[in-house]
Amino acid sequence: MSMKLLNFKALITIIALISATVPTASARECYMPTESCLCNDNLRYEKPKYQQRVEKRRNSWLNIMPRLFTLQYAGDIGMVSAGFGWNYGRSKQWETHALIGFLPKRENYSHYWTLTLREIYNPWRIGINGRCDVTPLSVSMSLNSILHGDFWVSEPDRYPSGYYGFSSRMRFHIGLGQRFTYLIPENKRYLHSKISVYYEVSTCDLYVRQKILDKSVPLKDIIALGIGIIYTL
Amino acid sequence: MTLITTACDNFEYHPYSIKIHGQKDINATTIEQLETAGIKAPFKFAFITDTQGALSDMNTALDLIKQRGDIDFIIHGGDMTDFGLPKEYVWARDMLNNYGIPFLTIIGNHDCLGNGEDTFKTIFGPENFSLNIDHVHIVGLNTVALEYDYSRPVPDLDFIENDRLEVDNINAAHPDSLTHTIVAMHSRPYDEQFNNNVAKVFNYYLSKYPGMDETTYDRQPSDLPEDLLRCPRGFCINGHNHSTSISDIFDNGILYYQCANMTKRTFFIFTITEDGYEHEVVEF
Repeated sequence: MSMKLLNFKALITIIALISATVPTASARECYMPTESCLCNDNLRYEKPKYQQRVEKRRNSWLNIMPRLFTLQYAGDIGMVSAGFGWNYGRSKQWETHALIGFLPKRENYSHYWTLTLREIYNPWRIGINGRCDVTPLSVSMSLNSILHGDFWVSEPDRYPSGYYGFSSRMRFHIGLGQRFTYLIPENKRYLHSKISVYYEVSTCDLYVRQKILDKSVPLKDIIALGIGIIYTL
Repeated sequence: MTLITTACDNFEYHPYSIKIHGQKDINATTIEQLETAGIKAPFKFAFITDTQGALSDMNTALDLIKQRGDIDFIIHGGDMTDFGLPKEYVWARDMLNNYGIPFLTIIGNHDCLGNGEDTFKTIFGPENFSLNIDHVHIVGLNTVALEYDYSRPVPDLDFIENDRLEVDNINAAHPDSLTHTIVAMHSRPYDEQFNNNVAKVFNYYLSKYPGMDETTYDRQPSDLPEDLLRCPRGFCINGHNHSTSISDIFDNGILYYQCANMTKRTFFIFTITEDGYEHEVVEF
């Protein structure tokens, strides 16, 4: 009974939160006549507080709209991974990507889906005659999760506590790469202003651990290559 | 060209999903090789176990085994990998392959992590297997029941029963052609990995193999402690517990030779003779 009540409470809280953040249809109607607001600016007309709040909320939603789209081949997070992301920072040197990856069935393995959260830092960007630029170094850190029941985040209850002490589902990757970006001339833009191609060499936590424990493992065996394309708004 | 091939290999999809190149179904190949080689007693085999990433230590062990020049085959007692990663399997497999000594591999609990069991089956074949060399019947068993949450018959008593029936058929057709049995497993009865609900049943089934019953009690190895002197000519070998010991778990003479893991730099050599066996612990 108490469990049901708890679920009900959680549901109400979620509905309340959603209703508090998503602009409603009526709010949109009121917001529409912005032109008149602009005209009245000269008369030091202040928008109604309600309208200001709606506008602020609308802008904050616009801020979290993805500004780049990624497609990647290989790179230890899936055969093909697709996702979206955001760039930010003074010269947009930081990027956060969220990707969903697909791994096909291989021999005895089943196929898998994966999720990846990736943070990228591009310290430099070198422009070439205003039409393209080169990113000589991209540093990335990714957290990848393989979505399948055979893999767990923490050990199932059947094991004595701390039996394995690792997560078979979550992999932490670090990578280095380079990027070439083509800046689309304004008159040729459709949905994007830039197209970048990149490659990345990466390794994951378990490989690094193996290399530290036993140097005899060749470096090339613990390195994964990935290539991809990024469309930026 | 090599560079391109290397680069293509490095387009890895996921640490738990790589294309496995090279030899597959190795246990089947080894079994065929050993059964058709016409090996006669006395013959020797080495037992190494629990590599778990200690590749350099395994390399040293294999160097020593190779240097002896008298080892007919190697049994790896499981936990060849630490996380069940396909790359870990490939590293260990390629190292063992390098020495050119036939080897058989038992599945361990670490080997089952993630999709490790699938990789094991691809590279080594079925998790339960058996073979006959001269008058000796050798059985390899999956005993890591905890990995399956006891949802699968591990150890597979049906496999053991059918296997024993086959042995009986061979012995019925050619009396006394199989007189010893060696059972290799990763975890042994009363380990946390073992399905201890069937420990006694498991022991009962093993005791029905040739050379595991009281009639062969006089064929003991000479270096055993006093209290273990009365034992049959058949025996069990296991890894998993990262320590070396000889135990008569069920107090019926069937000895469990437990070998320590690779980082403890220990392996066993067994010499199978016409009417018994000798056991040697190598520490390096």
